[in-house]
Amino acid sequence: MAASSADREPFDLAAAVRDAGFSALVTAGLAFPILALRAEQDMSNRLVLQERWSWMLIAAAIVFVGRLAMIAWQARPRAEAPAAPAADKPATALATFLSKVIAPAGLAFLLIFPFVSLYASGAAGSLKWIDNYGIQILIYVMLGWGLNIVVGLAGLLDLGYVAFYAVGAYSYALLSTTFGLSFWICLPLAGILAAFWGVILGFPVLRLRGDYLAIVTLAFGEIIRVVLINWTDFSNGYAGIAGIPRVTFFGVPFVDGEGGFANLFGLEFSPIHRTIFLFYLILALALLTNLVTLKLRRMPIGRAWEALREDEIACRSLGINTTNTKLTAFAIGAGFGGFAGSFFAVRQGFVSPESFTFIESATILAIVVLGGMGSQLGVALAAVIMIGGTELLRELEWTKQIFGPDFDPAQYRMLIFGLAMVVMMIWKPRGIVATRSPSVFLKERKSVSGDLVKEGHG
Amino acid sequence: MRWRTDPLLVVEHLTMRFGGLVAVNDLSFDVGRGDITALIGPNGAGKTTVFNCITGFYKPTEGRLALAREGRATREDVAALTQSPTRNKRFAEGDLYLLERMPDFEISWKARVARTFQNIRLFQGMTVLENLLVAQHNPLMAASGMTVLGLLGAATYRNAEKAAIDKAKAWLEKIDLMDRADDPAGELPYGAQRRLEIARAMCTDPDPALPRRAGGRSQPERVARPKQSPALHPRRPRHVGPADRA
Repeated sequence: MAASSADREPFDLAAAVRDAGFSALVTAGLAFPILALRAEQDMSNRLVLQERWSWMLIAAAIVFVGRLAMIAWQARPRAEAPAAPAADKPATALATFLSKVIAPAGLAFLLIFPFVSLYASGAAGSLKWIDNYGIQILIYVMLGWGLNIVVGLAGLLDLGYVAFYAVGAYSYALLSTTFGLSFWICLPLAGILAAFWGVILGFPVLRLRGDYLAIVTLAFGEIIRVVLINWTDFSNGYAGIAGIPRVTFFGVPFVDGEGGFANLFGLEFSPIHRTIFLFYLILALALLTNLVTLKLRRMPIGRAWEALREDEIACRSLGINTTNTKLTAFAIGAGFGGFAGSFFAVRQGFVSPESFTFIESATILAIVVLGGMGSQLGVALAAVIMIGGTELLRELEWTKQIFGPDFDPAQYRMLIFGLAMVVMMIWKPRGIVATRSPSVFLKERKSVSGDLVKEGHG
Repeated sequence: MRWRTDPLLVVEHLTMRFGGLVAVNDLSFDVGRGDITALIGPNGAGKTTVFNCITGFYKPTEGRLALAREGRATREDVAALTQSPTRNKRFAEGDLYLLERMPDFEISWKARVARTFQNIRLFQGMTVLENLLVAQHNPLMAASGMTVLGLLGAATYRNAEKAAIDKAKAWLEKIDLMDRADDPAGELPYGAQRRLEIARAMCTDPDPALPRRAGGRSQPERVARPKQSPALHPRRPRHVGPADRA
């Protein structure tokens, strides 16, 4: 960027208008089938074609003006850019400062979050905040951290991570409904089973790299889902498994009356108790994932994962068994997915294959990539943005005043996130936290620029 | 001339074919313990292919590669080991390994062969110190009790890691990169990267170091007839200076 300032072309209005006009034309062409034509069913179930030419024109006009503004912005006269290192220094200093502050502050906020929201919006109002925002985001933080081991550290592109989430969820659902095992026994079992499936998946795909690995893991995710749908004797198919025992406070159920949690602690019964307990449970599970990952990064196995991401051939020349190294990454990542899955089952009380579609894998992977591969803080921030953002879209009631009462902003979340991802990849291609923190240092911990860190190729 | 009396590596009838291409054709030579041995030849002669066969990155199509970790590799012992189904055996004359039977990482780990690469293969996004610690993966892994003891914070692992860092420091001192220990390896200048790669290879505790020299574009997949190149004449390896191991 800095080098190109000298040979920047002056602003040429005619060329800019031509360019913007072309962009608007492309937009109009794309928008024609999507925006301009709309098929709707009328009262007698016939399809009626509605024409909405104004929508198409508005979209083209927005692109025209936007493109023009972009060209003008790029061609604006600027003072000579300062030398690159000088510009980088304060940025990295700020980044390290922020990473020192954000993580503890975020943790402190999370610890008091249920009580803050309880105080702010009462028992009924806070349910939404704790459940829809708090728990939902934390599940994805945990899944993101779990997948980060596989994708971010070991550099193995896994598109089927949701399979392990499903294994965990169904493990708890089946073990608890069939054998009556409690959540606290099923939780480690679900993790072990998911890790076991991680190894099962790991074995055949060890020789594959890059795109091929991604395709096979994608297929694995779908296989698990399709098996859950079709093996009705085992998993009850589409209908799913209902009546999964709810979480207990280490054996004390969250019920009204004698022997319940509220009764035991002399509180007035409220369903919020269970929700708050679930919140702290997933917070503890997520923090466990984080703690183990941070510790593993400083272990030989963690360094071997990162070395594997950097250069597999060099790893083998140093005597590292890359097969075992990949398998442990798959197994440990899958294990955390399994923990999260069994938490999902105990929270919902119901599991069905619908919850484990490819879009979930894609969302988790997007969180990892958006956060900055390998960065724990980045993944957490990305989960807050992606999942919290989705939930926030439901809140935007005011958009109905602009676009009419039928407008549902939540339906546009994919569009918005697609755009956000594109913008992010242009602006910060290495994710929110683009630097790597070394696992060990002699004198001074200097963060490594993301440009040097490889993304892994399988 | 120790390759006659005290052979460390015995290469016999090594042939490597890539489909119809014969990259190495019936190559035989011995390497003596303590000698500095160089493999020379024109571009495309198959030097890199020989290295890749010895270090296990290619499985030779034909031939035998025997390495003595301790003692020497005698004809009889090599023949005896070839008859047995195992990959290594301890003989009266030495501890023998049949490299063509071992996967690449075990050649580094068990037979203690270290190598560097023609185009430097450092872990660029990791620091200089981390590069040297990754090279000590296997002893550290054992000390961490396959990670379990290490996760629990056992003293054995902490001591082992301290020792590994001390060893890395010693090598950093030797290659004059102490000041840059915490910098990413990818930021080092070319010469320093080369030195670091050698130090990293040495951190695996190799018995014989097999370094690829820098420079010279070589495409190992090319057809070559090493027999015609004087340096690779069967049974007559040319030594570059009869020097003791540094």
